Amino acid sequence: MWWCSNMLALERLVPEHVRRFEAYTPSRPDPELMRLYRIDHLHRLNNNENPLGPTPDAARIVQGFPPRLAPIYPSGDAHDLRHILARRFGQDADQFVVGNGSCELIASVIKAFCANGDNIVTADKTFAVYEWVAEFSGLAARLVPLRDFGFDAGAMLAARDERTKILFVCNPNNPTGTFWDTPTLTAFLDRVDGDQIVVLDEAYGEYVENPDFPDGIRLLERYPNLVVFRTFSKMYALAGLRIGYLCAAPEVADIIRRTHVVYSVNSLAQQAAAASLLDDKALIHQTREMVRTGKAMLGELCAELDLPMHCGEGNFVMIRVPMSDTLLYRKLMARGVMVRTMTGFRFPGWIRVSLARADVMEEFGQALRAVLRP
Amino acid sequence: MSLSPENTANGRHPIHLRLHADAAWIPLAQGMAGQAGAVFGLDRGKILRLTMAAEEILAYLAAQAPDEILEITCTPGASHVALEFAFTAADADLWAMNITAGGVSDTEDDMRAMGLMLAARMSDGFEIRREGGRVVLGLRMNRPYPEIKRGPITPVPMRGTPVAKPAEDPARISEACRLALSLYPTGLVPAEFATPGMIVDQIRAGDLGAALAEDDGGSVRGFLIWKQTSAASATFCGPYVFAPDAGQSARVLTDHLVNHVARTAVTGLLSELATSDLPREDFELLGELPLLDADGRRAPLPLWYRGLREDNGLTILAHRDLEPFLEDAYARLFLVRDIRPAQDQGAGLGPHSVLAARLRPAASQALLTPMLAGADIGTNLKRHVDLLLGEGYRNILLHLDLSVGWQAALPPILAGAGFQPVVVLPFAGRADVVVFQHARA
Repeated sequence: MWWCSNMLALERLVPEHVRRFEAYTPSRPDPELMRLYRIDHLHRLNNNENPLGPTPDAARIVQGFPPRLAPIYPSGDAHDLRHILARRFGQDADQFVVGNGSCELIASVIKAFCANGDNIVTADKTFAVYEWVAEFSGLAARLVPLRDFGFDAGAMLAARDERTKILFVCNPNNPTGTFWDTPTLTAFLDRVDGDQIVVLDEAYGEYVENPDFPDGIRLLERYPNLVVFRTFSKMYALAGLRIGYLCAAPEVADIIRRTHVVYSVNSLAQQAAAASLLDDKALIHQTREMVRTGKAMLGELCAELDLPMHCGEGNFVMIRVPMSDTLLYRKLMARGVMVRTMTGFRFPGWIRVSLARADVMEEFGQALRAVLRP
Repeated sequence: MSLSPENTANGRHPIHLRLHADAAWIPLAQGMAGQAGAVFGLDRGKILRLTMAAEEILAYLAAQAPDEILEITCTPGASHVALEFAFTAADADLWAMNITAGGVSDTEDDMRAMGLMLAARMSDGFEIRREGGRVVLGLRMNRPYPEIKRGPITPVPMRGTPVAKPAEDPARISEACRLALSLYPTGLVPAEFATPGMIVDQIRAGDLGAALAEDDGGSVRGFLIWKQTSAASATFCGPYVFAPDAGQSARVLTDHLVNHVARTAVTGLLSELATSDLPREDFELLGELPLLDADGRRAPLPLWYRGLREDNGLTILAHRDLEPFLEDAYARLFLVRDIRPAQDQGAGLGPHSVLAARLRPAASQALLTPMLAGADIGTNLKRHVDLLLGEGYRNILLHLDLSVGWQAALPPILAGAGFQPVVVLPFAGRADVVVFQHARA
């Protein structure tokens, strides 16, 4: 049969590090999940999306996107958006690279700096894409254990060798919500001393109200080896449009741009993202308020159910549950609530819950009570 | 004969032989099996068995499928040597690979098949699998390892907190095997623990995963082993705990296991032999096999499951007779499945089916797995049951993979042969597997 010969060819053609890599399986679409679980509604509390957004201006752009623009290629390097970002953050437009979500930017940075035999260093319990991209690129990912739920600066520095090219720091960390304050971050960067690229992923940075939280972009001048990631997927509620950006010193951005795919971000995403930046104060304020309320509600719920809760920065919390997290997932799904299991993050027995409106949090609470105290 | 480029155990390479199914080549096949067996580390008795098995199989295939091209491969494994015959199976009839073959009649075919049955019985394991239009028939011979005995244990006080580590040191692995054998009932400990060298070799080769719990003083406090058994599942034995703080050691071992496999292809962990030390709150009870021990006493075996991912469904095939059982099991476990109907469509089948039999005499347990479809599956099953009951087996189990249409259509035939569904094992095969148990055993 024809496919047999294709399979044999694949055995020969596919590199070993790709063959052993396990593809990520995204969750099925809502209607399919609702059919399978025989439920009439589904609250997704698994991907840390912001249910309050996007901003009104971004929403108008999404609603009014003219079909006449659909046949026309987008700006290949997100020209207008980069200039808006430059004005917003007081940098040069050439310091920004816009990508199809931060996942694409992670791949671009790794491709730009790593060759066969190199490695990256990050935490063992953090956003998994740093590790995945390194591994399916044939590179080693050195994973350093968290200390007290946070990145361990000393251990990360000790994990380096002469082939380490990039250190990935998720700040605040997903899923624990811990963050390095300014002195911790600058002390770390001082000790790196330009020997490696340091990626500071601030995907949840807009959620942090703590004045000790460092603004990575402001540190670029002092630390030219720093690359700061941000996204429109979380606070700005444009996850469906897949758009994020990085900011780096001009010479570093230039290197990354060489490996970055142009035209990967569509016109609608670029326009909506630009509009979001010009009109974000109300959304950020309302979202932070929603997150505060959600954290308080879950704090009370966990106290009532006697469940350990880890509540850091960001629009999510972690809860230790008295059963397998994957079983709890299925039981909550049967009640129309989807959470993120933490076994894949190497936190077996924990779930991560995205914070949403009070009525949804209330429904989550009812579902959790019903499952744990039937 | 050629050397292949791939590396295998002990730096040895597999040996390949390509020839016609002709009895004239029997001495060549014997020579290959015998010499490869010796180079790959078998003892004299096993070499002799491997040589005889090669002779019997080639003689059988030469009669069944003369002039067919055979590819014979002898591969050194971590703790065994494998001998495989690959061939086109359009006309080959493999019924004699059933442990019940032979003795059914005195026909020439039966007598010929008797040799093949002997080959299967002489080995430490055999399997038949289809790969497209080809059939691969494989035999396994274990290498010799010295045995250890159960013995009295001198308690050592616990120092500090136990920590789980990958099992690497042969001496500690051997000690853990001895402790497990001495402290746990026979039925809950893999027979291979009596030959720790085999366990060490399998761990070194990556065939087995293993973790040790050690205290601050470096004393062995627990042991857990696991093995990937299908594309999406792994089974584990343990945790075996040798310290007063059973809960702590068991917890660090199972957390180590879950964290180790969580980002691999494995979707679910299934217990093969779970001890009472398993942290139950982190696992799901799938059900309990109502087993009897070799003396006929009740020895129920709970089966535990740990999903590693967010399970959002699977399509399985099932005969309508099995649907009520499945719907009840899936509802209890909160597993969502699309059940597609499966029944015998009357499509042309060969006359004879093949069932693989894995025997654990010490546990009085036989596990049957349907390998090849055939029109005689009902009578073949009954023959197996009669033979196993006659040999005193108290527990006869059968695994049915719900991704395989002809297997999924078998429940009425299984019921006719006295089997009842007991438990569903998520992802244990290509899809979920249903464990059936013979009711009269």
